[in-house]
Amino acid sequence: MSEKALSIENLTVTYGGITAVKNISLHIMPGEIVTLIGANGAGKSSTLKAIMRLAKSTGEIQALGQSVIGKETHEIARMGVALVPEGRAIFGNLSVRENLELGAYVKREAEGMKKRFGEVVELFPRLGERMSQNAGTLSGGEQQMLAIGRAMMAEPRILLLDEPSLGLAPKLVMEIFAAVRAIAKKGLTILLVEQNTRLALETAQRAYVLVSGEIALSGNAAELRHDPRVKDAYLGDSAHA
Amino acid sequence: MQVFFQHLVYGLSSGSVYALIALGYTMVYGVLGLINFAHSEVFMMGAYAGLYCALGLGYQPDTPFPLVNALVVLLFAMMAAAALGVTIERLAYRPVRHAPRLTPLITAIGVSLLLQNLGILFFSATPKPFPRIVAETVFHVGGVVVTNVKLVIFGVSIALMLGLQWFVFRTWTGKAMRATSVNPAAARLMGVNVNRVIGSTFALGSALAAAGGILFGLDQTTVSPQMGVMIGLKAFVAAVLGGIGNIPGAVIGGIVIGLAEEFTSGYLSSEYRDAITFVILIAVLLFRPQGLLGVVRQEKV
Ligand SMILES: Nc1ncnc2c1ncn2[C@@H]1O[C@H](COP(=O)(O)OP(=O)(O)OP(=O)(O)O)[C@@H](O)[C@H]1O
Ligand SMILES: [Mg+2]
Repeated sequence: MSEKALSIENLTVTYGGITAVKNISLHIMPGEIVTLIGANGAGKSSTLKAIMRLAKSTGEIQALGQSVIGKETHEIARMGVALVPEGRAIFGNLSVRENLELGAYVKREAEGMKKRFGEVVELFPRLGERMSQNAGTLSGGEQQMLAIGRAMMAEPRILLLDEPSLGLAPKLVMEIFAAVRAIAKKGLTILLVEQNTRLALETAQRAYVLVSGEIALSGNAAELRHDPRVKDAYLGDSAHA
Repeated sequence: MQVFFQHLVYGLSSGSVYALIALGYTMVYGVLGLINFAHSEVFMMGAYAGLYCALGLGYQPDTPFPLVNALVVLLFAMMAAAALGVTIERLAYRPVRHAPRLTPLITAIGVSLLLQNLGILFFSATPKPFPRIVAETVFHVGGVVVTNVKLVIFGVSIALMLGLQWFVFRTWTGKAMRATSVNPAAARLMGVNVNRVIGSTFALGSALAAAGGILFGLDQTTVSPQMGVMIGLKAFVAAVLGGIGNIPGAVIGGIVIGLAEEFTSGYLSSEYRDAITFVILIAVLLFRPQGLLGVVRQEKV
């Protein structure tokens, strides 16, 4: 019944006494880019962590027609869901090549390692020039490229991106987002968490706005871009008093 | 010069045994951040597994094919120790994995004491002669005494360390181990079953310790339930010296400790043989706490 690529029903995420996400529901259709935007501490990362079972939660989450509740993180990765976490979480003491290889861990017995390397290098030519470099010595932008490239090595069907623009210069942000669009063209389903609201709304088809753990607004990204509530709070277009 | 080379031969052979044991400490620390104090008892149990295997098969120094027999004993002990290591992790460490740091540490000390006492119960506290699987042959190389046993010890250790190197860098399980030791949460996201990787790490480290136990038995000719205490401590210092969590570091640390011990007892006094290890430990902790090859650990996500 679920032709949705990802569906979240009544998700609540709590840490000890703190409720980070309160009873939210959202879904993504196959091949769609959906963005989840919101201020610091709104619960964006917590939502992504709950999908990967890295955070305790209640409610139902289905990915690719299967419930992820009761599954372990590595099993969800094997289902075809890849998270590029906040802070990138690259393997710092390993080379760029080893990081990418580990990205293909779920595919370890399969053919086509070379082809996947080729696709990642096509997406991020800079990584190709730095295959033997220790990943910990990459610049922030290159680390983000590596984190996305590494996720792509698993040939996932759903890609979860947590603030890929964080801490990067505008030119690099453009490069990263160009890659995200190129990935979307391959037919992947993408959930993009961002604080760069303008860029996120330009890239995505639909958006959910998270405020203090609750979905305050949702809808077509192009329309939300012109919604006064979004403009005031997130785009900084309104005249400040 | 002759004396120097004589100490070198002895130091390299005892050092390679320390290195084999140190690898287990360092690998488990790498994936779990736990100092597995029970590792020294896995070494001891591995030696006894080899002892009973050799007795059971009736191996004597004059049994044909001594090297094949030694290999049979070695493999049996390694498998038995691997099973023991996996069991310890499963029953003792996994339930306390997410408890505050002190809990797993105390658990490890408890397991260590338990195994020592089980050793006394089943094998008796009296040291037992280790079966002479390989008859000793003595060579004189330019005045330096070398025995085939020392050569076997050195050769087997090198072969196992090269095997480990291959495993860790070339197999998917090895790569998963390295990934887990850098960042377990990220490894999970890559589809790595971290529990299974931890189990494999215990199996591998324990098997190497058992090999160390067999080689120690061949060299020292007796084994006892307390044999793990001092050797384990020295191997642990070797791991710290090399940089705990660092595999090549453990090998270098083991060799350095073996040589330091041998040269100290040769050129100073054999009374300082054990003390030098602790001098090294204190020096490392004071001047280079991350060890020779260690890096300051990066924060885990
Ligand atoms: N491991 C944790 N333990 C306790 N509280 C946490 C934990 N992780 C997040 N929180 C809390 O949950 C709330 C939501 O955090 P979350 O990281 O999901 O926000 P976010 O929207 O991703 O913010 P940012 O844009 O700053 O990354 C915050 O109040 C945060 O302090
Ligand atoms: Mg966040």
